[in-house]
Amino acid sequence: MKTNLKIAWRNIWRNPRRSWVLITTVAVAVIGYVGTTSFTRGFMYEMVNSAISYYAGHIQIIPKGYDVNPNIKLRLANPARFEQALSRVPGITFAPLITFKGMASSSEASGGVVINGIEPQKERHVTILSEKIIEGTYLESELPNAVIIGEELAERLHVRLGEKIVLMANSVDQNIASGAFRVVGIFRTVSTEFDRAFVFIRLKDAQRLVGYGDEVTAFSIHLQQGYDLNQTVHRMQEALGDGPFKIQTWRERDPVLVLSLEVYEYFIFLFLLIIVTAVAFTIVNSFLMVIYERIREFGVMMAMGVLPKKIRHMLYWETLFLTLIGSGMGIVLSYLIFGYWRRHGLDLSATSDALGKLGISTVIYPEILLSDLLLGLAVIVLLTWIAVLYPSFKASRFNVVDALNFV
Amino acid sequence: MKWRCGFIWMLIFVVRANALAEDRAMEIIRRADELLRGKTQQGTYRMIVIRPEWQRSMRFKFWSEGTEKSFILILEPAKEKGITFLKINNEMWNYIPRINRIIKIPPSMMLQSWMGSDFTNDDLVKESNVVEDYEHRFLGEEKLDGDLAYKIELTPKPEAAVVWGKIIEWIRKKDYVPLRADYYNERGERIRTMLFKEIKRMGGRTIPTRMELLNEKKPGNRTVLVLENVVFDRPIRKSVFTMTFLKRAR
Amino acid sequence: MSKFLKIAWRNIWRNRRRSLITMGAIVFAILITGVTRSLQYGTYDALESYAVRLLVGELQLQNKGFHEHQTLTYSFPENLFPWDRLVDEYDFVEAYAKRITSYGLVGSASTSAGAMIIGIEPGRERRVTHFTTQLTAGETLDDADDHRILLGKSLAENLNVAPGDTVVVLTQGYRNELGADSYIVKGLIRSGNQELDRALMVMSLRDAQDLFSLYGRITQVVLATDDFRLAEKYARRMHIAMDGQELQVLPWQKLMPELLQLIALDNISGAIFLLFLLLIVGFEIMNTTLMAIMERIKEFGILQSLGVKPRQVSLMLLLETGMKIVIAVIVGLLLTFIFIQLTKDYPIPLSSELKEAMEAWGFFTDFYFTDKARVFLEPLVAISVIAVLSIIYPIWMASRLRPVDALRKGQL
Repeated sequence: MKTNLKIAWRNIWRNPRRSWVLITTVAVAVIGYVGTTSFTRGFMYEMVNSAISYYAGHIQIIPKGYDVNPNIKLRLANPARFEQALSRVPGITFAPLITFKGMASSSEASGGVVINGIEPQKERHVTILSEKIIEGTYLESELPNAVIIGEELAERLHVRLGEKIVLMANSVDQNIASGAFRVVGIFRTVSTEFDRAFVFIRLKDAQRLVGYGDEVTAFSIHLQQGYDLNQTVHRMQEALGDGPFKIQTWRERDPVLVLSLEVYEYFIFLFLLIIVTAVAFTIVNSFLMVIYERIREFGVMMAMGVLPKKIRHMLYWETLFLTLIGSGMGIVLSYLIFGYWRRHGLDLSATSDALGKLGISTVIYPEILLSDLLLGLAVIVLLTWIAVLYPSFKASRFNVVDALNFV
Repeated sequence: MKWRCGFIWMLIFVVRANALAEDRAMEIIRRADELLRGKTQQGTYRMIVIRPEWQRSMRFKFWSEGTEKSFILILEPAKEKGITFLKINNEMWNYIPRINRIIKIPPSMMLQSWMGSDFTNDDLVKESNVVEDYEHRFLGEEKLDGDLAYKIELTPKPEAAVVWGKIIEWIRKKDYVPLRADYYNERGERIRTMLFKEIKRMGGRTIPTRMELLNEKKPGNRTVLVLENVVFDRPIRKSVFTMTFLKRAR
Repeated sequence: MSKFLKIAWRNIWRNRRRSLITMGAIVFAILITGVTRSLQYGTYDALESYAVRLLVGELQLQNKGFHEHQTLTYSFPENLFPWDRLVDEYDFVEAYAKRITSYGLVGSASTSAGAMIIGIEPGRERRVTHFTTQLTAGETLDDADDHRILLGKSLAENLNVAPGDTVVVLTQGYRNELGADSYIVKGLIRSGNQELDRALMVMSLRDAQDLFSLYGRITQVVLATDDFRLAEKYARRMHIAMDGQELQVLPWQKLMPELLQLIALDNISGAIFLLFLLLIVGFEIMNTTLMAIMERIKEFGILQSLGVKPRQVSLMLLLETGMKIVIAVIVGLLLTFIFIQLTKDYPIPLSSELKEAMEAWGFFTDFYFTDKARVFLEPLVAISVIAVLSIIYPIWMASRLRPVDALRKGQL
């Protein structure tokens, strides 16, 4: 066994050029595989992230029935109780939200909007809206009746920073409520739809506008990286107990997004099949070639009395070494190449408008998952082993004379 | 010391004078508003909507009681005859015979055009605002169309749900008849202009009988209201401002 | 020269296994990139033509200003032009349908919502778009239908109505008249486009003209052509004017620019895939070619010691590998062609669960391999370039070979 290992190792370096060709083949296959999967993960992560990072977070607590019929009458009473319970759940940040449909108007134009009341300090920890202010400030100024609106809406209403808009909505007693708000900030996200339709005011102002006391419509919850969605929902359920509310994840909130992800994943799967086929063919082909080139060498060994079984084992070990070295190199190189983009992102802003419409950010961060990596390695090791199985079996079956005469 | 007392006196005097001016400006606006409105009003209007490419005319009957209640019945054209509107405080309902249904105007429709004119539904609902929602400033007196007029600036109170940056109104000095109102946005651009014309006696008062609303952002877009007849301060039956009357009015 | 050709040819078949492996690498590379491209272009094409012919259509004739303002002010007389003549005058026009597009408020017994109201000629419309045929409930509109409408599925859900129920509609007409009428729901549309399903309301052109007081006028004429990709070119060739009034001819690329951007996005992720695929197969071609030549160093040494000049060895190698590349490329293209011919009539299979879920949302589910020329051309160019590049280095090495070294080491 040990001699086999030693011989195999020495064989690899006896013809280094040939070995390097095989090693680089495996390495490139690994890089191709990792590149494909990591970019796929990056795209999918961005699709989810863009859908939840501006608004409402991964999980929401909503009044019972609100998901079926979003009515201003439905609200969560005693929000302090929720905040207390939620602060006991690890791995989350949360913020209260009041949301209702209404109308925004300036002296020149008007348009339907979704009015959202938020607590700016808490909201910062749940959504990234505060980072998307392109003019003015976030809602933190002390000015009464402040509003931040999207760039698109500002253009439609012909209002600038510091100017006034009137927000109008149905109050909780079904009257028409309205108020003048001053634009303190203008935001731009990747979604022009969001920038046209969403306005944000302070929670207190929203409560006064629609005639709430201290009630809120919902709590938005951001899940920190590394915490499991379902497990956290379970923990929240335990902390909150029973009541007239519902805990809803983004997957329930946005079934179309989930479906889009599934469709995308399916086509990714088709392409991955193609990539894996290419990897398989490449490896099998290269190893076949190398082994056939060495048939004569095996003949010599057999003529010297080496058992065919031994030659086979030697070949297995050689292949394993080559594969491991190649995979190792591939992984290191992948981390160097994709790791850079993973940190700094690959900017696809040339088509940012399109990505924005899809709700995808313009910068993709390829994500290398350990599970993808292990699966890929397993496939590659298995493939190379299969690749040598046939020729090594055949090589060991040659009789000495045939092998020596094999060209 | 004496000098100091004098200064304080002067200060008090200036503040008083300003307050007086403000009170006076508001009083002028209030009187002009009351003049056009009366305690109650029952009248018939013709409305002409003018666009660069076409114009269209309609007639309606109008009932109002104070600033809280009003009722409108469309008389012409035939296609729209029988359509009614009821306004109580800041809510508004609309009945359309063809679909036999009462519709409560939702917030999303409040700022849409009323019957295709340059007025919005909101303009009908919020008549009272000129007095309550604004700070009034007396800008002086000016001659307008040969008549001496008060020039008053109306600035919305910060919390008032008003889209305008300011309104400048001219009111005839001798009888508080409004002559003209300019509506500005916060940048100081004029958005629309209201002209009050053909001032004559009708319903026992001297009032403008033709009002023109000009959309300054869309040249050529104009709505003209012509008062055909009017009665002021005659009590109106309670049953007028009800849902039942929405469907029954002819 | 012909002697060299003969030698090269013989060399290829002298070591059949080695040649087959190197050629196999190229054949495989062409096949797999071809199949990938066929799959990619097939899905893009399907999605594009589906999206274009869903509602917007390939070309639209509109009055100037309608596209920007979307108001009835920019309507035009419906007999401005003898539309039947379009099909005769322009050979690429296959069908037309008149249309009115505007907005209004639609209400049921319980609630109301904003809607995009489209007045169509049902029979003609089906020849230019397909949104009226994608029903989840009820039936589509017929030319004879009066006061019957189709509603987007989500809109119907929001209004809580089903086929057979009555809804009322409130609008503003051509000259700001109040338009109001009631209609019976005949069918529900599920287009796969969420926004559309939440807003769409379809009625006959006559009913729409009545509702909007738009007598004898329309807002658009929608055209179907023989190739939706050429819409921009076709639009430039058309000139529709009558009685001093000229209509704009707008291709779908102008009407739905966001679709073009979506396609661009698809191309990006497709290109990233292709890049990695080419990296893998390209490297394999280089490796096998390199190895195939390296293993023969001793042979070249013998040739040189027999008096064959290094230049001649290189020439022989060049001819040999060149022939191999040509054969492999031809075989690769042939296999790609056969593969696509065999599969292009069958939709790409989706798992039944996924398919059901997609259909429930009205998503498009029929994707096909395409056999358009680019599918063959792109791999042909890419792989040939890689193959040619990959033989430069080993041949250059072989030409610099000193016979003694080659014989002794048997390797470089």
